This record gives sequence, C-alpha cells and structure tokens, in this order.
Amino acid sequence: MSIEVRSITKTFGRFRALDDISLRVDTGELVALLGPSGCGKTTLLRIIAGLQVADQGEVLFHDEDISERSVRERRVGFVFQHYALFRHMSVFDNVAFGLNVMPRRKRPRKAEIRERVMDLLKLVQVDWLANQYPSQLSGGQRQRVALARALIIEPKVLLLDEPFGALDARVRRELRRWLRRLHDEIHVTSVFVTHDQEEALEVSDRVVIMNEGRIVQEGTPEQVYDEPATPFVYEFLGNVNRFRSEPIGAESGYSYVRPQDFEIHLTSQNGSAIAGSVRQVLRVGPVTRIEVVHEEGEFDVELPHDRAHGLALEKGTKVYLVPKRVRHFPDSLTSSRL
Amino acid sequence: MSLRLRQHSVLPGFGLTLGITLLYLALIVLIPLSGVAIKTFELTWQDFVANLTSPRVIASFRITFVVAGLAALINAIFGLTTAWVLERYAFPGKRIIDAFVDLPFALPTAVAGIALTAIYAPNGLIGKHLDAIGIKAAYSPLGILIALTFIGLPFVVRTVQPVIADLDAEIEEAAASLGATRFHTFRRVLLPALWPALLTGVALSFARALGEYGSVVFISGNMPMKTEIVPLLIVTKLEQYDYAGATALALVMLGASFILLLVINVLQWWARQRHA
Amino acid sequence: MSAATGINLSARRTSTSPAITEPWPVRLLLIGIALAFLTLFLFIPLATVFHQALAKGLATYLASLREPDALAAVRLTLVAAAISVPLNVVFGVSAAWAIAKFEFPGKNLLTTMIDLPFAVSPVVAGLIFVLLFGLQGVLGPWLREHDIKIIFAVPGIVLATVFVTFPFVARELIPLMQEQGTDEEEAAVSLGANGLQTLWRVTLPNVKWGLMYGVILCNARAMGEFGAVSVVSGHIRGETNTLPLHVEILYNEYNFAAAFAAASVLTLLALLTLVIKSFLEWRIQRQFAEAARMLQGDAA
Repeated sequence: MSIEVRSITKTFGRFRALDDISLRVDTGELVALLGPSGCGKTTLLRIIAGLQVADQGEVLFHDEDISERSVRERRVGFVFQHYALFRHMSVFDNVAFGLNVMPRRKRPRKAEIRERVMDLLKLVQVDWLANQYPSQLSGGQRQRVALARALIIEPKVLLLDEPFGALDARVRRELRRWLRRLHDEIHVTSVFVTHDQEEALEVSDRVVIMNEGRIVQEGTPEQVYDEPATPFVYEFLGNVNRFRSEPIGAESGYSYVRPQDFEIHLTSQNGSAIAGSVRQVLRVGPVTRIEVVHEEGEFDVELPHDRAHGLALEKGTKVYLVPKRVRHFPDSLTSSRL
Repeated sequence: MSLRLRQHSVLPGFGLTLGITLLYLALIVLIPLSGVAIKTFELTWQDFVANLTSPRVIASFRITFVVAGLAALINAIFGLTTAWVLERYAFPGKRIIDAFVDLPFALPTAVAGIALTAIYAPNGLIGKHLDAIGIKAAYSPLGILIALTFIGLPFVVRTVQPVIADLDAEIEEAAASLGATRFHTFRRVLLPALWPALLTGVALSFARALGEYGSVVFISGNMPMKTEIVPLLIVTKLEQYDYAGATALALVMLGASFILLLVINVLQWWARQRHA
Repeated sequence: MSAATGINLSARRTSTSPAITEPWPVRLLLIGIALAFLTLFLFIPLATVFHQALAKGLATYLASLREPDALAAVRLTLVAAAISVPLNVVFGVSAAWAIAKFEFPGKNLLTTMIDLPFAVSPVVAGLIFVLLFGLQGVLGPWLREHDIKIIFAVPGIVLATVFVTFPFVARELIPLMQEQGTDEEEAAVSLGANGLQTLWRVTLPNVKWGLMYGVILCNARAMGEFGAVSVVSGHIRGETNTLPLHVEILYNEYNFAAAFAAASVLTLLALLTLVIKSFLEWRIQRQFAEAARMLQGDAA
C-alpha cells in the first residue's frame, strides 16, 4: 500500500515543526526519513500513523484520504523509539496483544493466535524468549519483539521511530542488516526515522532528508550522497571540506570536496591544484587522515593506508591537492540552512 | 476548546475522565466548602469580629498555634535525627522501625488520644513519674504538645529521608578531601541541601497539628482559656447550636489551611528546583 | 498531607566510606536519640493499647467486642469504608488519567485542589456538611420537607468519610502515571485497542501496586476517621457510631477496658496497614527500578 502526504503543516505553539511537507512512498518501498534532531521527522512519522494530527494537509493510504481516521482505524504497524513494550506482559502476550483486543467476532481462536504469534517470533528470531518479560531482554531482543508486536496486525504500512537509536554500535549494525533482509522478505511499505546517515544510506531504498520542518532532498542513497542538492546535505552526509571558490558567473560561492575525493601529489601540478603543507598524519582505522594547511585554512584528506604509506608523508611535507570531485554552491544557497 | 485539546493526544477518554474529576471535586469538596462562605455572608461584620475577639476564642487560637508550632519544631529536630539515622546507619531492626514511623498516619487519632492519655495521666506509666516531680503532663498544654508531636511525627522524617538517600556521596567526600570536618560538612554542605525538604516537613506537620482534634480532646482536659484548642471550640459551639460562631472560627482555620497549602506548594517547588 | 504520604522511591544506601560517616560515639548517640524518641512516641503508646485492653483479662476483652453496640459500630465503619473507597478509586483513576496523560490549562491548580481535603481540619470537614445539610443549613429546610436525614445519620457519616479520604488514591496514581508516560498506551491504541481495553490491560496493570497503596491508605483513614465523623454523627448508639466514636463513648463513660478493646481492633488494622504498605513500597520501588532499566535499554 502506498503512502502519500500532501502539504502537511504542524506547529507547536509558535514552533513550526512541519512546513508544507509533501511526500510519496510507493508500495513495498523502504524509505528513511533522515535529519538532525528537531527537524520534524518524528512528527511527520507520527502524523502518518495518526498518533498526531496535522494542522493542515492530508494523509493518503493507497490514494485514499485517511486524515480523519484514528490511529486505531489506520492499522499501521508502529515501532516506538523506546519500544513501549508492555512491561507487565510476557513477550508472547505483548505480541498477541493486537489480536487479543480485536472485537470478539473478528478475533482468531486461541490456537490460531498462538500459531501466528509463534510464527512471527520465529521470523524475528526470538521465539525462544516467548515466556520472558521485557525487563529480562537485551535491547536488541526488545527491538525484535517490538517489531513482531507491530507486525501481528498484518499492517499494510510499517512505521519505525529511530528503530536502532537505543542500541549500542555493534548490535545496531547487525540489526539494520537484518531489518533490510526482513523487508526484502515481507515487502511491507516501510518508513523509518533516523538521525544516523550511515543507517539511512545502508538500509533504505530511498532517503528523504529533512531540516527545519522541510524536505531538503530525496533520492536513492547513491544520489543523495554523490549529488547533494544543498550545502546542508553535503555537511550532514559525512565530512566535507569547504573553501572559497572562484566566482561562477556573477555570484561568488563555496566549493565542497569530501576528504576521500582528493589526490595528493608531492610535486607541483598544473591547473587547479592547491598547495599546502602537512600538519598531522593520523591513522584512523582503515584509512589515514592527513591534515593539510593551506593559505585559506585547512583540509582533511583521507587516503587508503597503503597509498599514504607510499607517499611517506610527515609533518611539514609540501603537498599539492587535486580535487577529484568538487561541487560549487553560490553564496545564496550556502547561507540557507536547507 | 476540548476539540483543540484532544489533538495533543490520541488517547481516548479525556473529556470523560476530566468531567468525572471536576464533577466529583465540585460535589464532594468545592460546593460543601462554599457552604462556609454562604453561612459567613449571613453574619454581619460586627458579629464576625465579636465572634473572633472574645477572650475564650483568642486564648484558644493562641494555644493552638503556639503548641502546634512547638510540636513542629520538636519534630524538625528529632525527625531530622531519625531520618538521618534510618538512612545512614545500620543497626538491628532498622527496617521494622522504619515501617513504624508511619504509625501515626495509620493509627486512628482517637486511639492515639486515649493511649497517650493513659500513659501521661497522673497515674499513668510516665505520668506518675512526671507527677512526682511536679510536672502535669495530661490535662495541660504539655499534654496537647505530646499529642501533636505524635501525629506530626512522620512528616519531617518522610520528607527528609528521600533527600538524604539521594545526596551524592561524592559531595561529602569532596568536602572531606578539602579538609572540612564532619561537623562543617554537615552544616555547610548537607544542611543547605536538606533545608527545602526539612521546611516542607515542618510546614506539613504544623498544618496537620493546627487542625488536629481526635488525639487532643482526650489528653488536653479541654479547659476553656487554658487547654481548649480551636477545633474543639468549633465542636463546642456547634453543640450549642452557635452556628455563626462555629462558622467564623472555621473560616479562619480554612484561611490558615489555604495559606499553608500555598506555602507547602512553594516549598515543594523549591525542593524540586534544588533536586533537579 | 503531601510528600510525606507519597511513596519513598529512593534507593536505600548505607554509607561505608569512612570519609562520609561519623565517629562511632556520635553514631551511637544519634541512634540512641532517635530510638528514644520513637520509643516514647510510638512504641509505648502502641504497647499501652494492648496492655490496657487486656488489663481485665481476655474474657472481658472478648465480651466487650461481642457487645451489640460494638458490632453495630464495626458494621457502620465497614459500610463507610465500603462506600468511600470505591468512590475514591473511580475518582482517583479518572483524575490520574486526565492529569497524567493529557495536557490542559489549569492542570496544576486542579492537582492542588485535589489536595485540599488534606489541608482542612477534620472538624471543619464535618462542619461544612452540617452547614450544608444540617437543620439550620443551606439545604436544611428542603431536606426536612422531603424527610431526608443526612446529618446525624449514616449518609452524613459516609459524606464526611468520602471528603477526608478524597485525595488518597488520586495523589498516589498521578505521579506514578506521569512517570510512565504515554508510550505504552499509544502502542496499545496503534494495535487497535479501545479506551477501556487500554486502561484495563495496559495502564492499570502498570500502576496496580500504586493503586493498592492508595487504596490501603484510603481505607485506613476511612475506618479510623474521628474528627469529621464525630461532628456529623450525633453519637446515636447502635445507629450512627463508628468504631472510633464507639471508643470515645466508652472512654468517656470510664469503661476503659472496653474502650481499649475496641481501640485494639483499630490498632491491629493500623498494623496490618503498615505491613501491607511496606510490602507495596518494596514492590513499587522494584517496578521503578525496572522502568528505569527499560528506558536505558540495557539487558537485565
């Protein structure tokens, strides 16, 4: 089932959380809403779910306006940031809840509930924890239970609020690959909210980048990373070097180059090479980071370890930098926060 | 308005539950309390003043406020000590003793009244020893003080105790490492942290003592001008069908209650600021 | 009245670092002072009740409890509690739901108003109902015309009891339900639960210990209330006497053994209340620790 929001606006007091947002998510897609905290992404997700009501605009499921429907009627699967597991219920009862509260004539028989719950618990790989209570589970296990609980009502739409936010780095990486595989398996239209660009780029089919209540850019992970539409997106998705560039036409502006998009030469290059000297060489995990001081400031440059080794860089070495990939933005865009 | 309010939350039942709450609050508390105001309007200003300035009334106000204040003070000192001991030291039976601190909350005041009277009467367990050295405990202001101390006992302990428990040990260690003596640390570091809670407890205990009736009537002897507290005087006036007099006294007591409630709210707000 | 009746949530800690404790003579002195104070004001009165009750032997004790007036007093006390506790539970749950789960203007004022009955002297609490429903009261003439008796009758006693026990349940539930937030309720609603199902299956199980705590305190006060009930009762033996009033009458007739016998029943009730209360505090503390762990998201 597709999701569409049209011209959604939401204010809290005088704070404009969402400003005329329109977005479409196609059936079966997995979309990430990415942005810094306070950008409105969670509010948008909660409005889609019906947990909050927009001041203006419509929400459509399968091209049908459901703005007036309550969260109960929308039948979305919602995974809460802190999971919101019912702490006094076992894992089994948590997952069975959505079936147990159905009106009697629609409610499946006990045996069927049992079967469906256990099937789902197997799908999320925690069937062996069915009789445990939430407080006895690890964070990753709670996340899987929360997902199973949301899926039991067979939602056509799955919404996840910072699904991996409360987990430590290792579990987070493992779980997000698993979520990707799970989505490929069950293919339910899904939207998740995150502030972690790595997470968004790795898991989703499409990334929607938000800032200050607006959508800044949407596209595939490759598109938004390789072709950032604005300086904000550039800076938000990974590290970037910014420097004053030659005026383009009538307007002056800045150029943006990612640290890994430089070539380093020891000898003078013709054309656009920037001369500088090495201030520090740091080995950071798989790459070597080199701080280069030039006349306007400093650059961070990242090289594969063996390449840096071959250059035998040390403090004070004169170097010439050639950007392999560079983007210019005129001043009018650079000063905007979008 | 409720339409706008409901938008804050998807949870149902706001209108219903707020409706029940307000209706019940109005029926049980607000409308009955306003009855006092209505009755007061039936009094002329002269009657009202005359009712409050008779020597017997003034004497009862004096004894009530003075003794309630003294009881609150005693509870401040011993309540703080008790809270400190229960929170900081280990000794056998501590948990049971801790639970017993709440006894005055749970024990009906009439029971407390007759028990204390039996103990402090001239022939009682402690009363006879006091009598021997010429101190009259029951049937005197001292008796009232004993009763009011009893019923106010848990307040200071229970407001101060959690604050002591939450004190950061590192602060005391820091003070010690800077060369402060234990007494200095207590006076300069711990006591300032405990002030808001201590004052809240004292105010609560004072408020409770002002209105107390059950435990006092048995032990005080109820002599007009000497050991007659205001709540008792209200009852006496009611029994003599002097509704106007009773109402005037009740109005003053209600005023005192409201002021104390306000003070307590401010103190608790202050304590929360401290705590955060 | 306020924080003091609230649940003590802080974890207990006994300091061990020598830098932050007192020398042993000071410690011993402070423990001595505290114990002497508590003995004087708590333990001796407690022992006195039972000592006096049994002063004339077990037979007299039991006989005075089997007396028809005593039984009638017990019955009325139970009736008053049986009406006021459920009423205050319904009110407490409603108030806590509205205040803890929603935002609205005037919320702080409402919370303060709920505490009002704790601040009012019990005697004044009784008086306000006399002024309202008594013969000379605001509604007195109308009530007499319709032959309805409230003051000096059972309805007055119930009303006074409801008034003085009014805040107990609400003030336990409000902070507890605020602490728990609305996440679980929102999850329940998103899974298709209706309001009643959410309340019954999610909210109430989460606050059940706090609710029981409020109920037990409410009940203790309802059964033990003296001042307010005394003003509205009229002290008609066998009819409008609750157990605490029965104690007073016997005591004023110098029937001390019987008075203390009745008092001992109330004292046992108070002791039982303390036991249950301690148990509930322990449970609630555990629940809070659990909630904190859940929020941190680490494994148990």
